[in-house]
Amino acid sequence: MSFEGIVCSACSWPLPPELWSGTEGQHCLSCGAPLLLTVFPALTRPHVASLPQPVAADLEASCFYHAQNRAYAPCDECGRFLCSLCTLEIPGRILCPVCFGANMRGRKIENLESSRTMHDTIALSLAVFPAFMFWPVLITAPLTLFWIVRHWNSPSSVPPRTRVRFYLAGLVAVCEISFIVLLIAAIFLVRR
Amino acid sequence: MSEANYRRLTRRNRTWTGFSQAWLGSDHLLIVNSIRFVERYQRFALADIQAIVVSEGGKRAVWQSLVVLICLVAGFASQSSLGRGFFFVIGFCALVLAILDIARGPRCRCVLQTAVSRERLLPISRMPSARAFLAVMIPAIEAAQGNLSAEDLAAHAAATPQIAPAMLTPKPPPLDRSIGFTPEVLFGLLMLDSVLVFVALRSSVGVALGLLPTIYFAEFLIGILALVQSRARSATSLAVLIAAFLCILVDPFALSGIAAWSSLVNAFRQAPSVPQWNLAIGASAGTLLLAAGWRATMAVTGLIVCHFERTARAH
Repeated sequence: MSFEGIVCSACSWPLPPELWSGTEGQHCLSCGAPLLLTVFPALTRPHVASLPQPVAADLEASCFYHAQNRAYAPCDECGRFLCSLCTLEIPGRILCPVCFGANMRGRKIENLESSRTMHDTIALSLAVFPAFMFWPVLITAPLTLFWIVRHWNSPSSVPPRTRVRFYLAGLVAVCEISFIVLLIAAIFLVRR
Repeated sequence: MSEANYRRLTRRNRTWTGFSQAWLGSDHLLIVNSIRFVERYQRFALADIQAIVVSEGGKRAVWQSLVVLICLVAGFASQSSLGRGFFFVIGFCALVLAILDIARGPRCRCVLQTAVSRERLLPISRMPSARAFLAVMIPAIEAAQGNLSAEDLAAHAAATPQIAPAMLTPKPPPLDRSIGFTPEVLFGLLMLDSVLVFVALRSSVGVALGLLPTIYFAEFLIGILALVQSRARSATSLAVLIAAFLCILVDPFALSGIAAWSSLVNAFRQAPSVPQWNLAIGASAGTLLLAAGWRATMAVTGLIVCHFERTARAH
């Protein structure tokens, strides 16, 4: 799929090239919404896809996956020769489709990760919310401590993020456990 | 890419379920969409961004002022201190929200375009944040792509198919919206309620107290829904709907509600410690007939009008 031209972000009506200058005070011709439009050179760049070249002579290296195509680059992971069709370029590396898939599954390349679980938020929620009902704390407070220890070194958010939620969750869980221990001790002493 | 290489571009745009935020990496824009326990990431290489379009959105000042005004009027008109306090607190909250909304600046909608996608950027929802975002993004993208010369732009514009002005281009025919069955549900409910109101006003205080509030609430709720969904309806059915809704508003304060209220007050006055729930409702025959009668009449009229509207649409 490729997009030609630029459309209004409010009504999706195509914006004529006269509006592409990027100056303020322009309005969409369809919905009349004030526009702030910025166009970059990538818009005028032709979309060229490089086709694989066929092997010309017997001595030329060919692609591991396509024997009829000339090798273009080796995979940085497995070293197999690849044609331009099989080459997957990620910043600083070239991978074959198999290694790319393996890296995706193993979450080895941070730039390809599409989601992450926030274990510190889970730990904090586990420590705080059950406290409103009191009794679930008997289970959730130790579980919070286990969760913190288990996921202390798990990757957190891709943008910078501190461990303050882990510290808070640990503090709340320790307070809950201390309170429960004191409560049990008080009940035991009163009954004696 | 190490974590320290990201620069925050926007504040967290919070929603009920999470937030979204924009970050600038060394060679890409990162959009974080969080649903509290999981963060999802979208990356846009700076070299691939073709355009960023920001359009200013509509203002909500009218609606916000209206809510504050209604709450103030209802607060002053309310007889009880509880009602007055309730409406004043709601009105105060609405006023604070309106001031905060105005202080945050006009709303906007930002779309980022690449060769293969057009993505709405959720973190950019206000014009001031959009301007701050563009002030950082434009130099970063130009550093990756270079500057767009006026000649290149003119050449590309010449190659782009000419777009006819929106005023001259015929818009596609409007979609045939389904008219739904909410008005029919309302009129059916009014038919049932005519019987229930009759029963309630002929029985004891306990029965009336159980039935009437439920009847009023259901009629009011479905009436609002029917009015909201009545855009595609004909003028006749809309007029019947509005008349029915006005009757729904008036009935608790003028007909059935007044009749039941006086009996309820009597039941409490006669025995303050244990109310006499078995005390009969002292509704007059006229009130009884009017309360049940308008519901039955509106129900029959509404159902007939809706039937004819559907028949006319089908043909």
